[in-house]
Amino acid sequence: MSIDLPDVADTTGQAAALDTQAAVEPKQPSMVLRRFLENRLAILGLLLFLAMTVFCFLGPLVYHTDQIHTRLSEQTLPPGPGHPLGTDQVGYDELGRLMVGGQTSIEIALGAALVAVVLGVVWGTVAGYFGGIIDSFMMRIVDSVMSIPALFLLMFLATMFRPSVLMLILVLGLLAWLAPARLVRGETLSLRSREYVQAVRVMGGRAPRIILRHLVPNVLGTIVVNATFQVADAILAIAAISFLGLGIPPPAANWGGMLSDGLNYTYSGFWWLIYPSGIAIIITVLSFNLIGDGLRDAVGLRAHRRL
Amino acid sequence: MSEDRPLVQVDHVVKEYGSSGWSLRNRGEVVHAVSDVSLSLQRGKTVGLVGESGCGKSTLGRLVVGLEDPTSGTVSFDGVDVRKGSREQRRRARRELQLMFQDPYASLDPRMKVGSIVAEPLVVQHQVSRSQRRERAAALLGEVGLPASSMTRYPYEFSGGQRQRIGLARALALNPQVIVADEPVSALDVSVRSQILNLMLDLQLKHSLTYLIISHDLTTLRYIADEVGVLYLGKLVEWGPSDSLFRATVHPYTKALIDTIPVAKPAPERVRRAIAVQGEMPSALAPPSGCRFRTRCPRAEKVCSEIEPELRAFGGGHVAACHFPLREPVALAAPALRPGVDSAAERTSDPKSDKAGNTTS
Amino acid sequence: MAAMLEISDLVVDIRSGRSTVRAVDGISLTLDPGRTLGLVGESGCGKSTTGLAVLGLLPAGGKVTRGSIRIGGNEIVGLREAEARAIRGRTVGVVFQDPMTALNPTQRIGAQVAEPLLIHGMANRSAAMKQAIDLLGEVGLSRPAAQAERFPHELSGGMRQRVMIALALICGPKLLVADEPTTALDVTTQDQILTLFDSLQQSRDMSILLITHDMGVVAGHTDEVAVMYAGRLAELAATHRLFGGYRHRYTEALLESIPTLDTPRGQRLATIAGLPPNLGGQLAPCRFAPRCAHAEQVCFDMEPQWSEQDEHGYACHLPRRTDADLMTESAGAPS
Repeated sequence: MSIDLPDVADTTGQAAALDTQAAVEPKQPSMVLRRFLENRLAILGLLLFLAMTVFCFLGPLVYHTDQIHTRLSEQTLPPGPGHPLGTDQVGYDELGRLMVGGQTSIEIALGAALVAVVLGVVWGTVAGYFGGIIDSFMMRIVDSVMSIPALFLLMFLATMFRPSVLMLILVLGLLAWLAPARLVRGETLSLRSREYVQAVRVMGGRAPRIILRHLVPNVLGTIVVNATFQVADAILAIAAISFLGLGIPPPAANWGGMLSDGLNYTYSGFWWLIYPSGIAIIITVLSFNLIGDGLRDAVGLRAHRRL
Repeated sequence: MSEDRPLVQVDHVVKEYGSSGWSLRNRGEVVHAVSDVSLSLQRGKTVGLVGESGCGKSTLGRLVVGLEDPTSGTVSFDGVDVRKGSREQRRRARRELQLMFQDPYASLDPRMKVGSIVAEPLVVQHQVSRSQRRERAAALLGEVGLPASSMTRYPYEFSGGQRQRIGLARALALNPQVIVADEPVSALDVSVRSQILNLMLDLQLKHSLTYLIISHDLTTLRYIADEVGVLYLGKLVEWGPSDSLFRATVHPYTKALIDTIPVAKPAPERVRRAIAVQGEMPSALAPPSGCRFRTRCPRAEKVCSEIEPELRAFGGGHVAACHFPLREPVALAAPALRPGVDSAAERTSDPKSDKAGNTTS
Repeated sequence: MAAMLEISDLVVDIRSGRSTVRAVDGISLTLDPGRTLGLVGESGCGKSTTGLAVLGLLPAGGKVTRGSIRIGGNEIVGLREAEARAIRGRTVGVVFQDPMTALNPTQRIGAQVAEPLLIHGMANRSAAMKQAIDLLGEVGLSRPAAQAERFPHELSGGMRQRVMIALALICGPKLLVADEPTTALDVTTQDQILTLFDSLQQSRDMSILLITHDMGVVAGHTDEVAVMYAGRLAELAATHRLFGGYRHRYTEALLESIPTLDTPRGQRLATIAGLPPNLGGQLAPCRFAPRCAHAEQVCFDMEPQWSEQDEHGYACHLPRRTDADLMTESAGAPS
């Protein structure tokens, strides 16, 4: 026999070897999931988000309301029979409106986070992998865009174009991709010099393969964490633009818009126009922050939230 | 194809970092990683490169497999410059020269299954179909002593030694003729090292592989290499057949390296002897003038700082660059002596092989 | 003369998640003043854990379950954290493998080396600085006053390890625990650092516990050697005695699998089959038995007892016969 007895006798045991090796083990998907599920706050976040989603997207199937036609005869009714959360200043049922508004908010937030993350990953891995002039050039663009005040740009764009769900997704996404791009580029820089990436270069592998098969899967943990925080940020951003009156015009609704409309009636004591949408925003943002924190701990990233 | 022609020829290779004018941070500092090194690998033989960290040995390995491009000089495979040949020739060089890494924990993608890792070179080089790929991966794993069931598992499920086996299987996937192994066992536990070294020897016999083994561990090289080159601050200071290099050492630096090897041997008392070499290797940003080792050399004199020593022949394919060698050279300095080629020619003293050597330059 | 370090029947358990691993299982060692004891073994054998237990630096979940550790005659197992720290602070210094993680990157090295003196109130600022600079010179930094102003990242690996040694010595410890102090260094630097240990030990009359995986390092720089395998002590003897006539089959296998400068080129090396066992799983009575080329049924049935003669101890049912044994046998000495 030309080959010695291989050391296959005990494989998994060695992974738990005490001295030095255990510390460098990369986190596997199953392990990440288990650690995430062991985190009670993260589970709470997940449940809150699921509850909000069910409420917004499935709620209208059970609780039918007319969210198209205004009913001026029924404006600003306090909570009571027929309208559990009352009606708003143009007579829409507040509870139903909360559902419809939530749909828009969640759709935009998820969409914007997706755009931001995809763009950020592509930009970051390409810049990080090629390095040199390409990297310098691409990152200077990021720096330049970052130096434009986001809110100003948002207001500018909102006045230029008629806001729609798609437009808001694009605008918010295009504003938010910078952070993930920097994050991913930083990680790529360190991954690029890893031996397994060099191994692919030695065997003749080209950039697309290295980026897609080896770099992206290995920055995925970071990215998923970042994406969750992006969703939370986007929900707040939508609220902010709507608050400035630059959101999607009625009859479409979103939580931010509802909140800003309601605030006009603060002194009239119409609390049901303020609290429900405000609480919905808080719960959703909180749920994503909890999920994000849980994921971050599960994939073993260090303390800093972004960048 | 001449049997005497070296399979891999490294000719006057220089690698400097930071010399490009593009970076804004560049302050005109140049790292001289490899300075005018020539050597050659003969088919089926094992060459070892040894030196302290920062001596350029890893860079040289990366230059050979094409991970880095030399600043000047050439690396040729089977007589063809690996950067200048036709597209097909360059592709061939890529296939024939493979690298085995030091760190079994960093050299395998943690997100890929072992089967995909081993088969990846086949995918990259568009060889064989999907089902054949699986078969080939299983066969490769078998060759390195791992069961086919390993294919569906992730690297973290394996020990360091087993991961080195997986790395070796991946390096073998394209049936290369040359494997450059950068510290193949230094990250492993002592009891596992010999398993990997034996496996490498078996595979060399079976596939008539040519090895370039880079290591800081002279003992391992003494054992596994036919010829050993000693690098210091980017310069080849000594080169010779393994036995000759250890038994009839020429360069004071090589002597110091040998003297500092901790030997696991019975000693009557705790030996307290003088330190073999003082100080540490100077920075590669500003190598000393003349002989680069002179700042730490016990034999250094004035001439060492003024004139850079040339490689001189010491018989039997043994060459070294030193003004005050530990033994006398056999001949005067031959111009542009290239270790491995000229030394082979010298050994056989056959005019035909001499000519073969010249045609490659 | 009281031992500097006396470990007896030490058991360390490390809990992670739901499982507990017995990393050290009944180790007994004695280190006399002014001597060096080498603790050798492969990764996971418990050598580092033993060192950490002495230092009181066991990782989270780690705990001394049984046994005693006496430093300079003082028992530290069972003491309250603050009391144990007081004993260690005065008498124990430590050098780790990676000085970069042990040194503060934002602080100049002189200030770092001087800091322990200030913490323990052993000197005022200027005296502490002077002492630190003197010590940096003693451990082999040229122009120590200038070097003291530099940051760790400005130094080479060997220099950093020297700073680390100065930091370990500043309070004048009587016991130095060095855990793989030269593993990350080049051979020439390793040689310098080990020689430095030797001379420091002589000039300061210090005891050194040298933890390493390298048999060669142990052979040249220790007075006694303890070989560990899978949490247990396999063999313990004076260094020249051990290398002259090792008895345990693990020591034998380990030494014979290392190529030496005399190993014929290309000859197959002796190997040890398999891997060290998983300490969380089932273990054979003799823990080396499953990998041992000489193992017989008894090795799987009974735990080998510790036997000791002429201060050479080992735990092996079928020990290697030494040259001396063979000589007596061939002389035909009846019983």
